[in-house]
Amino acid sequence: MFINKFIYVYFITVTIIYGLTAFGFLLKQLNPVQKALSKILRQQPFYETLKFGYGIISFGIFILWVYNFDQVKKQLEHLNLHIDKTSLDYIEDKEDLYRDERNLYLYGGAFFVTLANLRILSLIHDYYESQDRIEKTEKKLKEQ
Amino acid sequence: MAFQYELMYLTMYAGVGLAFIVFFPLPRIIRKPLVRGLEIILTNSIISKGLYLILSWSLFLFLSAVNENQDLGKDLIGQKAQRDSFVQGVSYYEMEKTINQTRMKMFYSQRNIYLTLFNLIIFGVVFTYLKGLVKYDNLLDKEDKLKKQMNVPKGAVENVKQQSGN
Repeated sequence: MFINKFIYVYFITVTIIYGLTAFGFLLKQLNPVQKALSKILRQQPFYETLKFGYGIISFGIFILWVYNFDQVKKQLEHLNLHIDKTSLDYIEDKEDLYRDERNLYLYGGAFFVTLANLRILSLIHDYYESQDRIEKTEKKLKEQ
Repeated sequence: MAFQYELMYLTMYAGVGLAFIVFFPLPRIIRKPLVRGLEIILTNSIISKGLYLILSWSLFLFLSAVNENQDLGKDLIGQKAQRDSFVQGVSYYEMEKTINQTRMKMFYSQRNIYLTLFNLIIFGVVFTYLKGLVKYDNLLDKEDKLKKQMNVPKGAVENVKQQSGN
Protein backbone atom coordinates (compact mmCIF):
# COMPACT_ATOMS: atom_id res chain seq x y z
CA MET A 1 0.00 0.00 0.00
CA PHE A 2 1.17 3.48 -0.86
CA ILE A 3 0.35 4.91 2.59
CA ASN A 4 2.53 2.29 4.33
CA LYS A 5 5.51 3.08 2.15
CA PHE A 6 4.98 6.78 2.70
CA ILE A 7 4.80 6.36 6.49
CA TYR A 8 7.83 4.08 6.44
CA VAL A 9 9.90 6.76 4.68
CA TYR A 10 8.44 9.43 6.97
CA PHE A 11 9.28 7.36 10.09
CA ILE A 12 12.91 6.92 9.05
CA THR A 13 13.25 10.62 8.08
CA VAL A 14 11.75 11.87 11.33
CA THR A 15 13.99 9.53 13.34
CA ILE A 16 17.08 10.83 11.54
CA ILE A 17 15.98 14.45 12.18
CA TYR A 18 15.44 13.59 15.84
CA GLY A 19 18.86 11.95 16.06
CA LEU A 20 20.61 14.96 14.53
CA THR A 21 18.85 17.43 16.81
CA ALA A 22 18.86 15.46 20.07
CA PHE A 23 22.42 14.15 19.97
CA GLY A 24 23.68 17.69 20.42
CA PHE A 25 22.89 17.24 24.11
CA LEU A 26 25.04 14.11 24.28
CA LEU A 27 27.84 14.83 21.81
CA LYS A 28 29.78 18.09 21.94
CA GLN A 29 30.61 17.83 18.23
CA LEU A 30 26.95 18.27 17.32
CA ASN A 31 26.48 21.35 19.54
CA PRO A 32 26.98 23.89 16.70
CA VAL A 33 24.24 22.15 14.69
CA GLN A 34 21.88 22.56 17.62
CA LYS A 35 22.83 26.17 18.10
CA ALA A 36 22.21 26.98 14.45
CA LEU A 37 18.87 25.19 14.64
CA SER A 38 17.87 27.16 17.73
CA LYS A 39 18.53 30.41 15.82
CA ILE A 40 16.13 29.27 13.08
CA LEU A 41 13.60 28.11 15.65
CA ARG A 42 13.54 31.46 17.37
CA GLN A 43 12.04 33.09 14.31
CA GLN A 44 8.56 33.28 15.74
CA PRO A 45 6.12 32.59 12.89
CA PHE A 46 8.26 29.69 11.66
CA TYR A 47 8.35 28.03 15.08
CA GLU A 48 4.58 28.22 15.51
CA THR A 49 3.94 26.88 11.99
CA LEU A 50 6.35 24.01 12.57
CA LYS A 51 4.63 23.08 15.83
CA PHE A 52 1.23 23.24 14.18
CA GLY A 53 2.41 21.10 11.24
CA TYR A 54 3.86 18.43 13.49
CA GLY A 55 0.68 18.47 15.56
CA ILE A 56 -1.52 17.89 12.51
CA ILE A 57 0.70 15.09 11.15
CA SER A 58 0.85 13.30 14.51
CA PHE A 59 -2.94 13.52 14.81
CA GLY A 60 -3.37 11.97 11.35
CA ILE A 61 -1.01 9.11 12.16
CA PHE A 62 -2.73 8.59 15.50
CA ILE A 63 -6.06 8.05 13.72
CA LEU A 64 -4.44 5.55 11.34
CA TRP A 65 -2.93 3.78 14.33
CA VAL A 66 -6.26 3.43 16.13
CA TYR A 67 -7.90 2.20 12.90
CA ASN A 68 -5.19 -0.43 12.54
CA PHE A 69 -5.80 -1.69 16.08
CA ASP A 70 -9.34 -2.36 14.99
CA GLN A 71 -8.12 -4.20 11.88
CA VAL A 72 -5.88 -6.48 13.96
CA LYS A 73 -8.73 -7.24 16.32
CA LYS A 74 -11.02 -8.15 13.41
CA GLN A 75 -8.30 -10.30 11.85
CA LEU A 76 -7.81 -12.18 15.12
CA GLU A 77 -11.55 -12.88 15.33
CA HIS A 78 -11.54 -14.03 11.72
CA LEU A 79 -8.61 -16.35 12.39
CA ASN A 80 -10.46 -18.10 15.20
CA LEU A 81 -13.24 -19.09 12.80
CA HIS A 82 -10.98 -21.54 10.96
CA ILE A 83 -11.42 -25.15 12.03
CA ASP A 84 -8.56 -26.57 9.98
CA LYS A 85 -5.42 -24.82 11.18
CA THR A 86 -3.31 -26.25 8.33
CA SER A 87 -5.47 -25.08 5.43
CA LEU A 88 -4.26 -22.58 2.87
CA ASP A 89 -6.96 -20.09 3.88
CA TYR A 90 -5.78 -20.16 7.50
CA ILE A 91 -2.18 -19.53 6.46
CA GLU A 92 -3.26 -16.65 4.21
CA ASP A 93 -5.25 -15.07 7.03
CA LYS A 94 -2.31 -15.40 9.37
CA GLU A 95 -0.17 -13.61 6.78
CA ASP A 96 -2.63 -10.72 6.86
CA LEU A 97 -2.54 -10.67 10.64
CA TYR A 98 1.24 -10.37 10.76
CA ARG A 99 1.14 -7.69 8.09
CA ASP A 100 -1.39 -5.67 10.07
CA GLU A 101 0.59 -6.15 13.27
CA ARG A 102 3.71 -4.95 11.46
CA ASN A 103 1.87 -1.79 10.43
CA LEU A 104 0.81 -1.27 14.02
CA TYR A 105 4.45 -0.81 15.06
CA LEU A 106 5.12 1.36 12.06
CA TYR A 107 2.27 3.77 12.80
CA GLY A 108 2.95 3.73 16.56
CA GLY A 109 6.62 4.46 16.01
CA ALA A 110 5.91 7.28 13.54
CA PHE A 111 3.39 8.80 15.94
CA PHE A 112 5.66 8.81 18.98
CA VAL A 113 8.73 9.99 17.09
CA THR A 114 6.72 12.91 15.66
CA LEU A 115 5.69 13.88 19.18
CA ALA A 116 9.29 13.42 20.35
CA ASN A 117 10.44 15.76 17.60
CA LEU A 118 7.96 18.37 18.75
CA ARG A 119 9.24 18.09 22.32
CA ILE A 120 12.91 18.15 21.42
CA LEU A 121 12.47 21.21 19.22
CA SER A 122 10.74 23.11 22.01
CA LEU A 123 13.46 21.92 24.41
CA ILE A 124 16.20 23.24 22.11
CA HIS A 125 14.25 26.49 21.73
CA ASP A 126 13.97 26.93 25.52
CA TYR A 127 17.50 25.71 26.26
CA TYR A 128 19.28 28.19 24.02
CA GLU A 129 16.99 31.01 25.06
CA SER A 130 17.93 30.35 28.68
CA GLN A 131 21.61 30.15 27.73
CA ASP A 132 21.37 33.59 26.07
CA ARG A 133 19.68 35.02 29.16
CA ILE A 134 22.48 33.63 31.33
CA GLU A 135 25.12 35.17 29.10
CA LYS A 136 23.40 38.56 29.31
CA THR A 137 23.07 38.37 33.10
CA GLU A 138 26.72 37.34 33.46
CA LYS A 139 27.76 40.35 31.39
CA LYS A 140 25.66 42.64 33.54
CA LEU A 141 27.14 41.16 36.70
CA LYS A 142 30.65 41.73 35.39
CA GLU A 143 29.78 45.34 34.67
CA GLN A 144 28.58 45.75 38.25
CA MET B 1 14.16 -17.23 19.41
CA ALA B 2 10.36 -16.87 19.40
CA PHE B 3 10.43 -16.62 23.19
CA GLN B 4 12.83 -13.70 23.02
CA TYR B 5 10.56 -11.88 20.59
CA GLU B 6 7.60 -12.45 22.88
CA LEU B 7 9.64 -10.93 25.71
CA MET B 8 10.42 -8.03 23.41
CA TYR B 9 6.70 -7.69 22.81
CA LEU B 10 6.16 -7.29 26.57
CA THR B 11 9.02 -4.78 26.74
CA MET B 12 7.17 -2.78 24.10
CA TYR B 13 4.39 -2.08 26.60
CA ALA B 14 6.92 -0.46 28.92
CA GLY B 15 8.28 1.56 25.99
CA VAL B 16 4.85 2.76 24.94
CA GLY B 17 4.02 3.69 28.54
CA LEU B 18 7.23 5.67 28.89
CA ALA B 19 6.76 7.41 25.54
CA PHE B 20 3.18 8.23 26.44
CA ILE B 21 4.19 9.90 29.71
CA VAL B 22 7.13 11.77 28.21
CA PHE B 23 5.78 12.87 24.82
CA PHE B 24 2.00 12.79 24.77
CA PRO B 25 0.41 16.22 25.25
CA LEU B 26 -1.07 15.42 28.66
CA PRO B 27 -2.13 18.31 30.92
CA ARG B 28 0.91 20.04 32.40
CA ILE B 29 -0.14 19.27 36.01
CA ILE B 30 -0.02 15.53 35.38
CA ARG B 31 2.86 15.38 32.96
CA LYS B 32 5.42 17.56 34.74
CA PRO B 33 5.73 15.59 38.02
CA LEU B 34 5.81 12.30 36.11
CA VAL B 35 8.58 13.47 33.79
CA ARG B 36 10.56 14.95 36.68
CA GLY B 37 10.20 11.60 38.49
CA LEU B 38 11.48 9.75 35.43
CA GLU B 39 14.40 12.16 35.22
CA ILE B 40 15.40 11.34 38.79
CA ILE B 41 15.03 7.61 38.15
CA LEU B 42 17.15 7.82 34.99
CA THR B 43 20.01 9.61 36.71
CA ASN B 44 20.40 6.44 38.79
CA SER B 45 23.37 4.62 37.24
CA ILE B 46 21.92 1.11 37.65
CA ILE B 47 18.70 2.01 35.84
CA SER B 48 20.50 3.80 33.02
CA LYS B 49 22.73 0.72 32.61
CA GLY B 50 19.57 -1.38 32.45
CA LEU B 51 18.30 0.84 29.67
CA TYR B 52 21.54 0.41 27.75
CA LEU B 53 21.07 -3.34 28.17
CA ILE B 54 17.55 -3.20 26.72
CA LEU B 55 18.83 -1.10 23.81
CA SER B 56 21.68 -3.49 22.99
CA TRP B 57 19.36 -6.49 23.33
CA SER B 58 16.87 -4.90 20.92
CA LEU B 59 19.68 -4.17 18.48
CA PHE B 60 20.83 -7.78 18.59
CA LEU B 61 17.30 -9.10 18.03
CA PHE B 62 16.76 -6.57 15.24
CA LEU B 63 19.86 -7.73 13.40
CA SER B 64 18.97 -11.40 13.81
CA ALA B 65 15.42 -10.75 12.54
CA VAL B 66 16.81 -8.97 9.46
CA ASN B 67 19.10 -11.93 8.86
CA GLU B 68 16.25 -14.42 9.25
CA ASN B 69 14.10 -12.42 6.84
CA GLN B 70 16.83 -12.48 4.21
CA ASP B 71 17.26 -16.26 4.57
CA LEU B 72 13.50 -16.81 4.22
CA GLY B 73 13.48 -14.61 1.12
CA LYS B 74 16.10 -16.88 -0.49
CA ASP B 75 14.07 -19.96 0.49
CA LEU B 76 10.98 -18.46 -1.06
CA ILE B 77 12.70 -17.88 -4.41
CA GLY B 78 13.76 -21.55 -4.47
CA GLN B 79 10.30 -22.81 -3.57
CA LYS B 80 8.62 -20.65 -6.20
CA ALA B 81 10.99 -21.96 -8.86
CA GLN B 82 10.18 -25.52 -7.78
CA ARG B 83 6.45 -24.86 -7.96
CA ASP B 84 6.68 -23.33 -11.42
CA SER B 85 8.76 -26.16 -12.83
CA PHE B 86 5.80 -28.58 -12.45
CA VAL B 87 7.88 -31.53 -11.23
CA GLN B 88 5.94 -34.80 -11.40
CA GLY B 89 4.81 -36.35 -8.14
CA VAL B 90 4.62 -33.02 -6.31
CA SER B 91 1.12 -31.70 -5.60
CA TYR B 92 0.61 -28.11 -6.77
CA TYR B 93 -1.63 -27.44 -3.76
CA GLU B 94 1.01 -28.70 -1.33
CA MET B 95 3.68 -26.57 -3.01
CA GLU B 96 1.40 -23.53 -2.81
CA LYS B 97 0.91 -24.24 0.87
CA THR B 98 4.65 -24.50 1.50
CA ILE B 99 5.20 -21.20 -0.27
CA ASN B 100 2.48 -19.53 1.77
CA GLN B 101 3.93 -20.95 4.96
CA THR B 102 7.33 -19.49 4.11
CA ARG B 103 5.65 -16.19 3.30
CA MET B 104 3.85 -16.30 6.64
CA LYS B 105 7.17 -16.85 8.37
CA MET B 106 8.57 -13.92 6.39
CA PHE B 107 5.77 -11.67 7.56
CA TYR B 108 6.37 -12.90 11.11
CA SER B 109 10.06 -12.03 10.86
CA GLN B 110 9.13 -8.69 9.32
CA ARG B 111 6.81 -8.08 12.26
CA ASN B 112 9.81 -8.86 14.50
CA ILE B 113 11.98 -6.42 12.58
CA TYR B 114 9.40 -3.66 13.05
CA LEU B 115 8.84 -4.59 16.71
CA THR B 116 12.53 -4.49 17.59
CA LEU B 117 13.07 -1.31 15.58
CA PHE B 118 10.12 0.25 17.36
CA ASN B 119 11.55 -0.64 20.76
CA LEU B 120 15.03 0.45 19.79
CA ILE B 121 13.84 3.85 18.62
CA ILE B 122 11.29 4.46 21.39
CA PHE B 123 13.72 3.66 24.23
CA GLY B 124 16.50 5.59 22.51
CA VAL B 125 14.28 8.61 21.98
CA VAL B 126 12.99 8.64 25.58
CA PHE B 127 16.53 8.23 26.89
CA THR B 128 18.06 11.06 24.83
CA TYR B 129 15.16 13.41 25.53
CA LEU B 130 15.42 12.91 29.30
CA LYS B 131 19.20 13.43 29.14
CA GLY B 132 18.56 16.74 27.36
CA LEU B 133 15.97 17.68 29.95
CA VAL B 134 18.43 17.07 32.80
CA LYS B 135 20.86 19.47 31.09
CA TYR B 136 18.10 22.05 30.69
CA ASP B 137 17.18 21.77 34.38
CA ASN B 138 20.80 22.33 35.36
CA LEU B 139 20.84 25.44 33.18
CA LEU B 140 17.66 26.72 34.81
CA ASP B 141 19.22 26.26 38.26
CA LYS B 142 22.22 28.26 37.12
CA GLU B 143 19.92 30.99 35.82
CA ASP B 144 18.07 31.12 39.14
CA LYS B 145 21.33 31.54 41.04
CA LEU B 146 22.41 34.36 38.75
CA LYS B 147 19.04 36.09 39.12
CA LYS B 148 19.42 35.98 42.90
CA GLN B 149 22.86 37.56 42.56
CA MET B 150 21.40 40.28 40.35
CA ASN B 151 18.78 41.17 42.92
CA VAL B 152 21.34 41.68 45.67
CA PRO B 153 22.11 45.40 46.21
CA LYS B 154 25.45 46.75 45.01
CA GLY B 155 28.38 45.98 47.24
CA ALA B 156 26.81 42.89 48.69
CA VAL B 157 27.62 40.73 45.63
CA GLU B 158 30.91 39.63 47.11
CA ASN B 159 29.15 38.42 50.27
CA VAL B 160 26.74 36.30 48.22
CA LYS B 161 29.63 34.84 46.27
CA GLN B 162 31.38 33.94 49.49
CA GLN B 163 28.23 32.36 50.89
CA SER B 164 27.62 30.26 47.80
CA GLY B 165 31.30 29.27 47.88
CA ASN B 166 30.88 27.95 51.40
